[in-house]
Amino acid sequence: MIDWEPLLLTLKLALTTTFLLMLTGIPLAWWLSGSRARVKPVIETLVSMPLVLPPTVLGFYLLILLSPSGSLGGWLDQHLGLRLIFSFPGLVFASVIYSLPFMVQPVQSGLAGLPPSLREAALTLGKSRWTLLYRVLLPNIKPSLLTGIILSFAHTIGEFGVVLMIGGSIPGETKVASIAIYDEVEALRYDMAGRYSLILFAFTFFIVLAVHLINGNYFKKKAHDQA
Amino acid sequence: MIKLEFQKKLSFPSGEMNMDIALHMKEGEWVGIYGPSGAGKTTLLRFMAGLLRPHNGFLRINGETWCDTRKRIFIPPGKRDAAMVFQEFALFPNMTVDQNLAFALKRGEDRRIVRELIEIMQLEALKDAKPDRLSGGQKQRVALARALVRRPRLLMLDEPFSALDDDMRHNLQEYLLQIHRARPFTAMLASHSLSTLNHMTRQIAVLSEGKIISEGPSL
Repeated sequence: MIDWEPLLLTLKLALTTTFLLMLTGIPLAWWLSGSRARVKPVIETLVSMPLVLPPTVLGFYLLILLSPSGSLGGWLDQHLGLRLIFSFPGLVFASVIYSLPFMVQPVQSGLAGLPPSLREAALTLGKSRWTLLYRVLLPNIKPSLLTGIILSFAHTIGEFGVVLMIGGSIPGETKVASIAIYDEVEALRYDMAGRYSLILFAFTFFIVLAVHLINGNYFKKKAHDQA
Repeated sequence: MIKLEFQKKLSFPSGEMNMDIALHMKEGEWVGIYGPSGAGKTTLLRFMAGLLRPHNGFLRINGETWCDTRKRIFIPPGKRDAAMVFQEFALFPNMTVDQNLAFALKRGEDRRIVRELIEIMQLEALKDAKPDRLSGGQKQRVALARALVRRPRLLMLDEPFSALDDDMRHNLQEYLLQIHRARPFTAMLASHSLSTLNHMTRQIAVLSEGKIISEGPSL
């Protein structure tokens, strides 16, 4: 019998991470798309680092930073009583950093591709910057936004190294599906590892397929062909 | 009285241009800006709309300062009682014609002006269409209507009739002059068509390479 807990925990982690990335990644992408600040290339590089860095490196630095003897971890423990390592909130924190480029880059390039006159027209019509973002800019980059959301979600599902480094394998707390697969293989239970793997494979396949179908206007073309 | 001074160094792929413009005009009048492409017509309108900060300069509308570099005053675009019709229309692709116009309303404002403008601009049949379904002339009418929803004190029009056929151009020009008589506003009309400027404006400034090279009443 399959233990569904790691899969549900994976889903919870991916949903929470994606939601937080929408709150943080979209404003960051917006700033990057229009900024001429000197620090911009440095910020862009930092955002992109999880794409090229081994997850264990990121996991190691987060472990040092977030452990109770670390600077941020110590402060959080002392002032808020919050321990992020080997806990679900810690996994969320790490996942947000790890999946940041998957949200920021598509949204940033979508926003940069919009004509500047749309922004200018909304501003001359007396609209606030937030109204401009939510009513004009984001609705006009739906494919980029969807790509950012789905890739962030799918990428979080596929996390392993970072999770293992700062979360370990605590059932119900940090033992996500990718860790469960590793544990099952270690215990020579290949059939169980195979079931988890197949579920993850099928789930992520359909998510990424959905991005291609939606962004390729496949459904619209079909409707048009039939018309 | 509207008084402005505008100095800015602009860089283009083809080289640099020093904009240096001083202009006085009576409030409530139509003023034409004439000049070839690249003379600085759009740049001047963008400065007046608050979309471009000058290196040096000011803009005063009847004593009210919208911009003054010496006093470090800069009223942002949305806080200026102004509207602009963009040369490239700048319609919001995600909104229908009706929604584009309604977006220009102030919070809680009556929608009557939107209905009126849709009727006057002959856009009833297109009001539920998105901009990508419209022709150039139709887009231009929507852009003009959207600016008029604001009932601005200063209206800036950047080549607003260029994509219209003769009949529609004539109708819109007459309509604009009619609403101007009913509720005067100052209009800055940038165009490379002298006949349009002579018909619509009382004063014409001729721009070349960022400077006013002549100024006088229209014919």
